[in-house]
Amino acid sequence: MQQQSYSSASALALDASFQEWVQHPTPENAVRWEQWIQQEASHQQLADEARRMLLLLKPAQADIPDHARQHVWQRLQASIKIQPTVQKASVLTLVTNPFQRIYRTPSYRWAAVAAIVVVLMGGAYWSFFMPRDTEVATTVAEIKTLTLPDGSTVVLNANSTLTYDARWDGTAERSVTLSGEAFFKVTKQNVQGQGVKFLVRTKYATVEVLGTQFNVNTRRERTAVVLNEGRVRLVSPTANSQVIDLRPGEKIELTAQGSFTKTPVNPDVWTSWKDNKLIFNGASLHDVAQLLQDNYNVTVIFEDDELANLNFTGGVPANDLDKLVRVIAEAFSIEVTRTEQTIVVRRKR
Amino acid sequence: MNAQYQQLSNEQVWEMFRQGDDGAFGELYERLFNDLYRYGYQLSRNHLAVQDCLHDLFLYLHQHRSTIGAAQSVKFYLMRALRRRMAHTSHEQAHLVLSSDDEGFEFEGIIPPEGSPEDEWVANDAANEQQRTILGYVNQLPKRQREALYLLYYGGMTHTQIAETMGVKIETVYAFLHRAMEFLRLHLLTLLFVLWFTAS
Repeated sequence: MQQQSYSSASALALDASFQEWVQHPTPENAVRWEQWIQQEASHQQLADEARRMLLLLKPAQADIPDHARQHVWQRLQASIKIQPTVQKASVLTLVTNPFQRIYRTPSYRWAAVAAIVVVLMGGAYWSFFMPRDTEVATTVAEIKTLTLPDGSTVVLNANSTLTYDARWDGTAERSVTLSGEAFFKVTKQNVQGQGVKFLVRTKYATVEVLGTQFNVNTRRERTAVVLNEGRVRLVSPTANSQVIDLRPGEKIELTAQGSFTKTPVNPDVWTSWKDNKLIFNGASLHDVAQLLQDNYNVTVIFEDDELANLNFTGGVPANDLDKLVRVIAEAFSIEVTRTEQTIVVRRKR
Repeated sequence: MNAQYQQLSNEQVWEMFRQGDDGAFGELYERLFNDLYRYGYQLSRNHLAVQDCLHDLFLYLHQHRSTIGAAQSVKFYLMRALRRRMAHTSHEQAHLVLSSDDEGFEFEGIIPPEGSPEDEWVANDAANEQQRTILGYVNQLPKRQREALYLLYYGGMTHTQIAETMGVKIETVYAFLHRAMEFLRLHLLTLLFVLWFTAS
């Protein structure tokens, strides 16, 4: 510790060990600093002044929202599973690259062997003892229906992932993480007369239910929930932890900024995809295009922006993209051409 | 959180994480979450932005564990990484920009511990009033000066680390800190004078 002379209280207040004493006094640092104060008459005044300055510098810290730690951790676990490729690739380079050099000296060779043994043992430990989350994912144009351990059913739309804890016994809290779109039919569950909550965690909101049917869509940097029956509650993980109750026939959209809009809708239109039907009720072609992008990974190009504003009403089988393209072309007498990954919409010439 | 890591420093846990220990990853997350969250929130005043960036930061660490380097101070390393992420993220969302100049890193003062030389202040209304006035002045210092003070005092960083975190020269950090402290000292002198004057 440097306890030389300080030109002013400011200099003393900027001394790391002095700060340590003010913030976290211990018998050791107290003895040292009290000695220093005794050394000269002027030291006492400097120390008092510097102490006061530091005591004023306590930042106004906002409370960390409840569950933020857990919420980010769960998202993290979901992401780690969805994007394991980078990790694999880097492990691969670790194994393949240094080998030419490692071979040359025996000690490195032993170190390498030891390292491999450690890694293998670690891997074995991990796979045996670490509880793994169960993950169900769908690809392009694929819809899956699954039954959760508690008997609830989930219809998972294309391009979506649902994750839940493998240890889930459904008695404490039933919690799943969703990215993409899914329709939930949650069974009521009681433990000692108490209803067990069912939570759907998404990037921008957590949906809380007891037993009900609803649709959750997390695409396009927002979370949209449509309620068919029962009652659900949305909790947005922001500071004010906004809690919003939803009634049947209502749709709510939460954005990343934490704002939300609530609109009355016909739930059947919004959940028709689960029965392999796409129903549009005055949807703009722009909206239709986004849906195709989400579920089929095709890009829709409007040669003329005005075409995107046309409103379409009608229903088509969800698994027949070509039919949808034909129906739209006929409805508006426009030209819609489809290649493998692109759909081009233009006026008839 | 986990007994097996209890005796270990952040840096030792970091080493275990780099060597593939998933438990160590969780331990680092548990240990540093609060400090990082608070710093991120001071920077952005936006909970969603902090959560997004923390998610991205830890995901990056997990994916690049075999290539990231040893850390002299894990806390410093992660605070710096978080700041870069929050300042330079190319996220199209407007919410990920840093908060405006007058927001973040505000100071509110501490209640002096009982029996300390400052204890008498609590009972003194004039002193409390003056203290609030001074804090008002301090909170009008440029945000970067306030941030430097925050990092020094609550990030436990050295001047070099503050310079690296904020992306400025070390001379600038000295200047920031010294200016802020002198400013505070002069206002405190006034306060003491006023107190002496009212008491006599």
